[in-house]
Amino acid sequence: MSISIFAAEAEGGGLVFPPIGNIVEWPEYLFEGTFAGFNKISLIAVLSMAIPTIMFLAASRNKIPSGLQNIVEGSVEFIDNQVILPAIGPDGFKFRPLLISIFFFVFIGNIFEVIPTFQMPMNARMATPAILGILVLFVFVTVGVKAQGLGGYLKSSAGPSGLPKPMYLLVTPIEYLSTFIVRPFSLAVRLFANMLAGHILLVTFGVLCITLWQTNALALVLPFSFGMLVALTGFEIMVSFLQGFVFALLAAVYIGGALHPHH
Amino acid sequence: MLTLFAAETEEVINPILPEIPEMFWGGLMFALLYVLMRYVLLPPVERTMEERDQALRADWDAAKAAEAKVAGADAELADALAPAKAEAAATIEKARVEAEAERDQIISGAQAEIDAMRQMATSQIEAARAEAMGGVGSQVAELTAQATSKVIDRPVSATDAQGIVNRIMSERS
Amino acid sequence: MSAISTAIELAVEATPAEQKNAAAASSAGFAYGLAAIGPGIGIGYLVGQSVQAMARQPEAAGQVQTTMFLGIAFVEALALIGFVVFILLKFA
Repeated sequence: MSISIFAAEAEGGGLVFPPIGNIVEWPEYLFEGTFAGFNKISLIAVLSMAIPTIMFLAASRNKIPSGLQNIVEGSVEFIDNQVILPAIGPDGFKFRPLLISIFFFVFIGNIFEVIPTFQMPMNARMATPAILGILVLFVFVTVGVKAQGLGGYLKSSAGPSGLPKPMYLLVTPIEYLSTFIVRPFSLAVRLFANMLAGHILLVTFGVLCITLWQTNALALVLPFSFGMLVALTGFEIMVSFLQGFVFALLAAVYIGGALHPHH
Repeated sequence: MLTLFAAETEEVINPILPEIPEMFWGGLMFALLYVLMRYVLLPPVERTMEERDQALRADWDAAKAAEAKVAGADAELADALAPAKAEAAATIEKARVEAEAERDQIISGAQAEIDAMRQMATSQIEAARAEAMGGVGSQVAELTAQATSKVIDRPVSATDAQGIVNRIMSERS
Repeated sequence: MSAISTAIELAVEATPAEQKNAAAASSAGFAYGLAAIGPGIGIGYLVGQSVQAMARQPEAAGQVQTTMFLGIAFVEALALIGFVVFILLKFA
């Protein structure tokens, strides 16, 4: 057995994991080298914008929903009941377009991880999560300043009220750091790292399956490896959905915290 | 050494740092999606849902109103029925009382008739019995007198025998 | 033991860049492994308690579930930062 493996290795069929650059970086098709270089990630970004748009436009407007309209209205109700009402409250419905956009953009960007010929989550690159994290930061700071005034917002986010004065010297920097730096950073990193980890996991098992297929000696293990690949694909679909949901939920929680300071 | 590091920094791919083109496209597309969602995509869906909500609520209210109406009609009907019901009850009661009286009357009349008939029958029976008893007593006395006169070879008067027989019969009966 | 001594022999012969790569590769594994311990315990505890809460009060299940996802998201961030450190050490 070991002989055949070595033979396969000698022919160049050993288990070679591709370098990380090969699985997350993509060449640019258009505008190469400029600030708007268009590569696979950009294509997925365009599709993540286009697919919800088409879905919402194509959904019928019947009194009794059917087909696509069910999905669209179901997602709107899902965002209403699972994100806006628990995290912000009844006055949060004005953020519905933002939260639905975040949910669909993140979810559809993620789901391309398991769609053949793409097989790459948009959010496994830091670009989009970073943009969305910064956007959420801007939104909740704006909402807080609008709702409480600049001084009021800075005061309410400086730490819990009722502490002895000297304690604020200690607490305020930590609170500011956690509110204005750690929040967007952790939002972006959570999404990015989840999707990158899932992508690497799928690539690992894919490479393993291909290698086992090519080296006949270990073909016995192939069904297990392939079954694992299928199971992980299902798991990644769930993770894609969950990350979209969690991103929207956390954005809503931050907005709600800025809107109702002592909630 | 320097050249080595320079080559490395050129070759090394940092998989974490965001790249400008991708940020540009991601941001642009998200902004586009948000604007579309805010002004074009979501309002009709919201309107449809709102309309359905209102239609449902209207239907619900209509159903509630109809239910209330039915309850009112029920009460009205009960109100209208109450005098008629009372009248009917009174009529029934009256008829019942009359029937009762009539029945009592009939029963008492029949009872009296029966009593009279029974009395008459009893007296007839008594008379017949007395008559029969009398007949039986005189015959027995005659027989007894004859038998006794044969036994004692001496005539026994029928009246004596009659007296004895009467005494015995009255004792026995 | 022999593997370690071999590694040391190799390390002695290696150039500084190779030594750095070797150190980064081995510590990358530790970084992710250590970073996964705490969040693993934390998520287990969190979900367990949430299930208990949902079993005791099924009518509050929706609220508990939302809060549970929030908690998981916060706890999970630690493990994911560990993963990012792994990627940074290994590839950057």
